[in-house]
Amino acid sequence: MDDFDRRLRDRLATLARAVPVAIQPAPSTPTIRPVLRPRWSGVSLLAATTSVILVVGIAIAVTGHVWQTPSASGPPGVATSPVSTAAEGPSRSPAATAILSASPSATPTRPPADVALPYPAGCAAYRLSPRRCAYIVDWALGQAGIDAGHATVRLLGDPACDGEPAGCVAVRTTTFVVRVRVIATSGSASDHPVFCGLGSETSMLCSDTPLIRVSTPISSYHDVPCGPGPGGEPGSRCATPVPTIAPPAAADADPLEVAATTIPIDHVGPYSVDMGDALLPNGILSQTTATLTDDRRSDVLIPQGIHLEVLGPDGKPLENAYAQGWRPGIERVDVRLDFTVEAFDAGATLEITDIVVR
Amino acid sequence: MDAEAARVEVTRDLAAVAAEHRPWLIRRLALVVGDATEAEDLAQQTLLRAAEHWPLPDGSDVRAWLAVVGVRLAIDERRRRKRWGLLPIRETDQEWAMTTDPDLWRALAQLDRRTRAALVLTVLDGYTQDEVAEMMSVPRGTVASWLSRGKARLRSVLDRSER
Repeated sequence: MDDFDRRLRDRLATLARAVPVAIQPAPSTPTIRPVLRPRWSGVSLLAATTSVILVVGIAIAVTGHVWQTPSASGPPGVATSPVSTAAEGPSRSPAATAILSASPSATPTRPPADVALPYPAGCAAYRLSPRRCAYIVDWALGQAGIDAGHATVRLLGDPACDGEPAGCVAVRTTTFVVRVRVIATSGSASDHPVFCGLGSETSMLCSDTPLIRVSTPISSYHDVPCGPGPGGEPGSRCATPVPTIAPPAAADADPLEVAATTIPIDHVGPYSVDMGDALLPNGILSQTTATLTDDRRSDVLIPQGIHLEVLGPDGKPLENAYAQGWRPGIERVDVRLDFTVEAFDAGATLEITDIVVR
Repeated sequence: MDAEAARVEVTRDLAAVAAEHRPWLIRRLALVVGDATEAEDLAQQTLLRAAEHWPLPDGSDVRAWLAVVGVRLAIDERRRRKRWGLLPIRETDQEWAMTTDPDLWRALAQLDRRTRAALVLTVLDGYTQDEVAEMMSVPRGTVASWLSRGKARLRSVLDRSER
């Protein structure tokens, strides 16, 4: 070995020592399994929130991502292992058989909770579509504050079932989806379990076709029955009566009625779609409706829902009939649809029907 | 010893091998493929191969066996991605490399994987050119050619950075 080889060896050795090697958990059996490249470059995170119940039962901040067009909707970089796991002959060793028996292809329904499956190969084991799995992984990376290029991702089962045999049933008031382990190149790891419950159906963390809610000012108005007040005086807790409409104002009123409108989705971010105006009798808002034709969507993500806003002359939204109060004559209001798109497929549209403001 | 006891013993044996060899295997493969994360995945695949063939034939050098399989997987993975039009694996300026020896890292990135593998196996691990030729299923002269070209490129970089 000449001097150059020695220098090269020393520097290669120094470089090799610097390679971060993630600390492996200490499983009861070795977690050796075919691993695919966890690459999903091209994903951009946008700030947004949605309510999802997690293991600690708190609302969490959720980030969305811009989807690819349908032709490229799956996570890029998907590869199959050059190691066959499905068609091996009887020559496989007992150890290999034991290890492979926990692989996604061998047990597609319920792998042991503490077996770390690679991403994206492990998505199927948790019955996650590529798109939803990518969304969950993006969310977990966002929670960990690590870019995709600086982390390895593994998918695991319910943390309550760690160390339990396959088939462990954890009793919870929420539905477990998957646990994402984010392993930074520094070797540090963090787990991000996803649990879904009531109120989480608008998040793609919890559904392939998250619900898009439509809210209107009237739908947020709630009456209360009459009852005794704190001091026992009768009727002190009755709702404020909705003011009556004077006949001349009713004659001059002009409601907004739109049978259907189609809104093309062409960007991520906030939308404010002007729907026209209406003349309210005495400023009294008595009916608002709007219906989204297909409210379980896989091609557009609007976790915060669509809001039918009715704006008064001062430009502020009318909250409800009680807060709005009574005006002499008629009052002109502007009507618009406000919503924020977190992600969409090319060509996505929203068809809103039965828009009525009167 | 019944079958179940044998299975447990073999599994334990394999786990010990994985624990012992995984770190260096990742480090070697990271130099070959230019990406620590991919190296980790390739190391896992290599250990899976070992599991499928376990126990290795008597007299096998486990370290050499893993090195051969790992390097072959690294080279095959690049070919496979190219053939199927899959996204290329990025070989980026990884932080750990850039804070350790950026000149050498970038110089290595200019070499193809086979040359990097031959350099790592000979210079770092001390295998002979004949052994590397056998490992990579190529003639000895091919390995010699890779090494000659690779070292020529690295020499200028090392000389410049050590001045």
